[in-house]
Amino acid sequence: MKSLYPLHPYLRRHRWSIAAGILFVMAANVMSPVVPVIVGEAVNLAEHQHIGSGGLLDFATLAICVSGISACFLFLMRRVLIDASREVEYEFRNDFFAKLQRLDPTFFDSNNTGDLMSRATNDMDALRMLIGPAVMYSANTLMSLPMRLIWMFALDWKLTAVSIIPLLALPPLVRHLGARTHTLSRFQQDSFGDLTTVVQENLAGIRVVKAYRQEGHEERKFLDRNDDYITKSLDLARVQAIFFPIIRFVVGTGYAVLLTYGGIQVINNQLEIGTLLSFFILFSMLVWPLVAAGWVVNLIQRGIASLDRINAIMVWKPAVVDAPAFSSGAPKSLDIEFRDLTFKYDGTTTPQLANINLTVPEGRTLGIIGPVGSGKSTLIHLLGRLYPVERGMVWVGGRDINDWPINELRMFVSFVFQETFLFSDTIEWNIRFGATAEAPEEKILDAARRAQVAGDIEQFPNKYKTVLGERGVNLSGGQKQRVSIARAIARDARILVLDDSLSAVDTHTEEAILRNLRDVMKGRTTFLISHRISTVSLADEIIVLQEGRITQRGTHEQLVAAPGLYQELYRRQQTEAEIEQLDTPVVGGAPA
Amino acid sequence: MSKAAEIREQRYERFREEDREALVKKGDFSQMRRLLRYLRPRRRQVATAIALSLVIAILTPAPMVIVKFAIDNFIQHHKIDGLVFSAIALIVSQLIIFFLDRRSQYLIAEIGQFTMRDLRLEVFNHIQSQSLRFFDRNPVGRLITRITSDVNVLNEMFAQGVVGIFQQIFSLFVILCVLLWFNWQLTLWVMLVLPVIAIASWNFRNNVFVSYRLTRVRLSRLNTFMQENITGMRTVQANGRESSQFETFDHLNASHRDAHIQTVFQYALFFPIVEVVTTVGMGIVLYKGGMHYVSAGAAAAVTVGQLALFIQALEKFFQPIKDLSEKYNVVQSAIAASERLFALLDSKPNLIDPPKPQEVKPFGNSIQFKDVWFAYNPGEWVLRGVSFTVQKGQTIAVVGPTGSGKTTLMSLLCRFYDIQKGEILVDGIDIREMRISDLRSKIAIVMQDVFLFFGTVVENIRLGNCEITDERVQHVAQQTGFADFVERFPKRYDTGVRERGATLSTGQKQLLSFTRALAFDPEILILDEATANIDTESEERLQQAVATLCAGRTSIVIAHRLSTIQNADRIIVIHHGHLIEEGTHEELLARDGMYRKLYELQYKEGLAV
Ligand SMILES: Nc1ncnc2c1ncn2[C@@H]1O[C@H](COP(=O)(O)OP(=O)(O)OP(=O)(O)O)[C@@H](O)[C@H]1O
Ligand SMILES: Nc1ncnc2c1ncn2[C@@H]1O[C@H](COP(=O)(O)OP(=O)(O)OP(=O)(O)O)[C@@H](O)[C@H]1O
Ligand SMILES: [Mg+2]
Ligand SMILES: [Mg+2]
Repeated sequence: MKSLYPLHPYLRRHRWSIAAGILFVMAANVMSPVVPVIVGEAVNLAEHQHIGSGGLLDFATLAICVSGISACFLFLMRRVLIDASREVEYEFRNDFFAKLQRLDPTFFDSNNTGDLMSRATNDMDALRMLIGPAVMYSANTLMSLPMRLIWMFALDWKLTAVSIIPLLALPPLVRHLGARTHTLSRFQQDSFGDLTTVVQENLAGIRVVKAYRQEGHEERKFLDRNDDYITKSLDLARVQAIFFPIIRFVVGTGYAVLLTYGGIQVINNQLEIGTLLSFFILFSMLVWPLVAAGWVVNLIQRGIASLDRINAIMVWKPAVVDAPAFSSGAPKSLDIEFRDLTFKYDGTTTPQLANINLTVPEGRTLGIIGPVGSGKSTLIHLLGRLYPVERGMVWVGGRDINDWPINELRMFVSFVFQETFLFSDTIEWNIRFGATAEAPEEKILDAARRAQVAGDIEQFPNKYKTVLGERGVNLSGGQKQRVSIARAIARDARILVLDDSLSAVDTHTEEAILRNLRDVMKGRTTFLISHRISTVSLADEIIVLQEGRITQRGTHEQLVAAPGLYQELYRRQQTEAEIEQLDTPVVGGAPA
Repeated sequence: MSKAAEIREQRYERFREEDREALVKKGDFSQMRRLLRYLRPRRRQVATAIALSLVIAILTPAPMVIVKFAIDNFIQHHKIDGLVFSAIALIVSQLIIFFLDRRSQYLIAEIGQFTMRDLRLEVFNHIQSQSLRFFDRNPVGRLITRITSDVNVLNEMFAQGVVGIFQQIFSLFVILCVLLWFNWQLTLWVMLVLPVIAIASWNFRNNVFVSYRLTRVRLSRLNTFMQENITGMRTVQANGRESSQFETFDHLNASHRDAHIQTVFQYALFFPIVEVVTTVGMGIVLYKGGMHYVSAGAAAAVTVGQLALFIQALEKFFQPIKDLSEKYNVVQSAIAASERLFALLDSKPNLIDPPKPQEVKPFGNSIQFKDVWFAYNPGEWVLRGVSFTVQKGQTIAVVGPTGSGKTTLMSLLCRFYDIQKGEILVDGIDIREMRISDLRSKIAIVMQDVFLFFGTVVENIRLGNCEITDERVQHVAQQTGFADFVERFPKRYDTGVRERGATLSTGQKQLLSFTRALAFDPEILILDEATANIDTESEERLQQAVATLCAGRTSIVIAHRLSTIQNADRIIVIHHGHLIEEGTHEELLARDGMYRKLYELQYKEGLAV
């Protein structure tokens, strides 16, 4: 079974437990068919009056002892095998999570959280059933069937051979139903993934849903997904509903054959009645392992369908390939260079960045300004190796960015993304998130102060221990943005990237933050993206991006003097202020 | 202890607290009745399924009885034709069981699926109808676990549990009758083992219940954590925090595993015990039955056929007991899950339509805030006695430092939260006396945090509102300037939008949600920092769009850039939850207060560059 291959390393790690478990299964199964034989023998002796009550008691005790020993093995079997399956589930979950951590934004852009969650929960459950119960019961079946058959053959091979003929119908039946189960389970689980996605989207966007009164629409979407899921589930149920009854029926037919043929033999005095009794018991002992076999096939098929789904993630090749660690330490300088950079996202036709040539020596500040969708964020995302770039286009410290180990590179960069993300933990924890684990308290407080959020935090009853809601819902827009600036400052990295990071704060606060940042920026390479001339003007060099190309570059003074978008923006933002100024004569005292 | 370890400890301590809560609570079995109520719409199917299982239960001992007759009446008396006849009877009985069984299993699956859908829908709608207060507290991951995982656990109980339990009890009963019928003395002897089984089952289920609840609490925590990390993966990666996040995940994962392993132990112990007890019963049959045989010879009251029947029936007798305990567990884990579901369903939405809502006419007059006091958490006032009026057709600007309560003000107008003191009136009617949907249908809001749905561009603009035609969408997009971008997308308006609009630039997302608001053609337009990430040129275009598309409409604009609000009819300034200034631009500048300070700063900035 090739599709089970991904499980190989896990099973290998637990091979001793599994081996021990199988050993216990074997032991239990060697024991259990002995009981009916003992019973049959006792009945035979009793039938011929060859036994006293003491003898019967001995037989009964023997049977109980044997089953007691077999029960001990059953106990051990369950413990060892099911524990191992939980262990494997645990490892698998960890690996799944670790894998997600290694995947890049390209992956998350194209996979829905809801679907990933359904893989991590629903499919993981099915997978655990595959590893635990399926392994246990199939070991059990594989061991008990032959053991019981051997006893039967030993008692009377002809009778056995005849009565198991109907059972030969089982393997093709099970194979057919198993294949159907596999396909249908896959459909069902995919459908569940879709259902989860609808729920996830609805909950994450609940504010929009409510504001635009989309509850009814959302409910319909959800109902549609539910109906689809029900259809898929019932398709599967139809197949599963045949599974056990058919096995029972086939075994029942064998039972009838046994009765006829065995009965005739007893009538012809070729078989003792007690032996026939043993046969009946042994034969009914075949039912359970066979039904279990059917169940196992079921579990395995469902499990494999889920394994496929999980494995699709596990084998996903990150678009950004990590490089081996540096042999001789990181480079001394961290000059950044873009050489003729052209970049295109997957699934788009025109490049989002074209012919970017740019050098930012370490310690300098680069301002980036440009209209919506011009590629500003894209440019700085490439710097963090969030998306893959061709070789030779982006250089950090004189080294192609593709040769940088991702972790080492990111250690040097401190991002404030355009869209903030905070975790549902304390504010302190969130600020510390950027810093090394051992960063002293003062550093966190200092970062909060510089980001001008300390004042807000001090006003919360729990101060820095205030626990945030998901994504920081209990903060205002500006507070969120400032906490994430504080996080970046606390990180204290050599490159600082601020992507439109003051968009949600008022001018007063903005001014104060910029003043503080000037300090922070000293000696650090800084990328400053903004729509405001006043912000980018702080930079040593400014580029204007338009439709993915650099259309202008220079210092603020140079750009203001040259005709172009920058000058135009400057005028506009300036006139806005002037219009306001003209409106009223009171502002005369404004400091220049 | 290092700082990092200390912080980690604090985190884990919060988890342990939740665990303890899960452990002290007693299982509440009155939940069962409530659960069963969900079967009511499907009572016909349930009745059929139960009837089917009754028939199956009656037929189950048939093969054994047939074999008994065959042995005693035909084999012992050398009657081959009778033997063949019983074999045929055996096959026929099995065939009947086959059909009934198949039907009943499918029926059971059907009942389960449909009941689950009802429940899921109820939970979904209930969650949807909660106020934002609820969503502030409950992470998405946890709620997803409720709607998916927890409901799925209930499925097992609806499907196999209820009908299964009936079937087991029936077959237990039928087999007992058969045994008593054929030999009541022997049966009574065998019953001696029952107390042992009873004690074992009792212990089993008690021990298992606690671990079930623990498992569910921990699973939901694990999922919440994973969900949050998936959504924030970029932040984790950019900060190089993969390993420490992984450590926490590992901790959660391991504790979930441990809770499970406790249940495994209980299972491992219980089943072999039943196995041994079955054999003890068999030993009793052998000894007692055999004794009869030995002492009385051929005239014995106990026949070989009876022995065969008893020994096989014993297996079948203990099987339901084993199953019942397992079913009982299904029920228990269902109760553990339903406790959490019902707790959720019982949490009344604290924001509901009034019993007798006022009829609402088109917006005609004014919005009034009268001495509005509001706190997210009791005692921590965010708004303190804010009063102002917006006349129809006016544009009002709300300014103030960050965190002063501007967004909150708008959330209150949309009635996302209820205020504690004062009142908000629309056309003189308190908004708490209107239907919530009537109120919200007047308003379109562009929120500070943009949210886009997985789907297409056009779906995101019109959402579920089919009255918005493609032409209107395109027209509005043209006006807002969003159309320029759409033209460049591969499939234009049908281009896919990823989760949260991951493949759009932030400004584009803002333009899209602006377009959405205008497409809805609202009577009242609220813009909360709607142009924060948009360049000056596009912003001017947006203002044009608002001017043409919403001419004569009422709008409330929150902005930090004073340039954005220069056209406002009136400006109100919020500071620390107080309304501190109100008036036109000129009036406010003349007053030399907060507004002027903010304004001067921006003006100075303009000169400084
Ligand atoms: N859901 C919430 N739960 C608890 N507190 C909240 C919640 N939302 C906001 N707050 C608090 O209420 C106060 C006002 O927040 P609000 O979002 O109204 O500010 P704002 O004026 O919009 O600020 P900004 O300009 O930064 O967006 C803040 O101190 C914030 O921390
Ligand atoms: N993950 C992605 N996949 C595909 N296309 C993308 C992706 N991210 C951005 N784009 C597209 O690339 C272009 C540039 O986007 P980018 O985010 O760099 O713009 P920006 O200059 O930062 O704009 P804004 O000022 O709005 O933040 C846009 O047209 C956008 O639609
Ligand atoms: Mg951007
Ligand atoms: Mg706000």
